[in-house]
Amino acid sequence: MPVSDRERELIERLDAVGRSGFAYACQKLRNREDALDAVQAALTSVWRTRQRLDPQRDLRGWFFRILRNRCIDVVRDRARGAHQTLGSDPVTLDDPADGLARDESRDQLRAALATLTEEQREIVLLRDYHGLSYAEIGRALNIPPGTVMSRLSRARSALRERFLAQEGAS
Amino acid sequence: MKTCAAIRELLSAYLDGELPQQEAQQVSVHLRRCTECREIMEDFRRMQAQIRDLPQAEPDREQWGNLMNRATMRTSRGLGWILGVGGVALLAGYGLYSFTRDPSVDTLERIGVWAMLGGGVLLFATVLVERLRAHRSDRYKDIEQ
Ligand SMILES: [Zn+2]
Repeated sequence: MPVSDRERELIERLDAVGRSGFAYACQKLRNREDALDAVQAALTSVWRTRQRLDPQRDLRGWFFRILRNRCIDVVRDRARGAHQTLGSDPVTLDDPADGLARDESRDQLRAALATLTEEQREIVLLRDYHGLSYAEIGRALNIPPGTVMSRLSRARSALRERFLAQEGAS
Repeated sequence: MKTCAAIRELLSAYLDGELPQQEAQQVSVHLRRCTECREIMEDFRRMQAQIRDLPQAEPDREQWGNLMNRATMRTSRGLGWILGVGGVALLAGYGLYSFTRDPSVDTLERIGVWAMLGGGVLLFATVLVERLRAHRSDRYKDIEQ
């Protein structure tokens, strides 16, 4: 069965979206293997619903929504599994760039990001790091567009305060 | 005329180009004459640019290729295989069955053919059950969870 142009285009878009999702999952899960598993699961379910999907409009938001749910499941399963082994919990570490190459000029920004709440950090990263539109963020987080706007605005104000404090401190 | 506090609530959406035209216009006019709001806007721009430039974790090339292949596998192709192989098996099975009905065939040959038939049916059923199970165990099948 030949691959149609529409499917070829969708695969290209999934490739790009999937790579971005891999960075997202690495940041959330702090483990490359777990991140790959989560991304594959999310890509597979988007692929299975491709007939119902408008790739121009829906793809990225849906993909991130599924990927995010998957990551939340993994984190929850880990917490359950780690019930007996008290002590180190890799999930609560708060460095968003942990595991990525280190660069001193970015440390202030990273430190500032690390002081945000998970909710604030996530929305800032979805917007600025992963490049999602407000509509896509709304779909990914399952919140209305107005909430995207206000939450992002508050998150950026908080980030700016921490960022300026970091700069002042150095 | 909007106050500085009201304008500041819009700066984030202004930065992203997500404001309706009229509000975007108001912000732009305000920024031209208000240094303090302009400074905030500049900080937002700087932060956005820096976040954009943060290094991205990238998957291993080979691993990624395999993952994309698995994720975009076509179930219709799998179904095609099952139907195709199933059809051939059915024809072969019927041929063998007719063979055993032939009175000139002796008992040993007959037993051998029945064993082949049984084995074929068993194999086919196993593959079918495995596929169905794999399909059902995927909890993320439905996008609208
Ligand atoms: Zn002002």
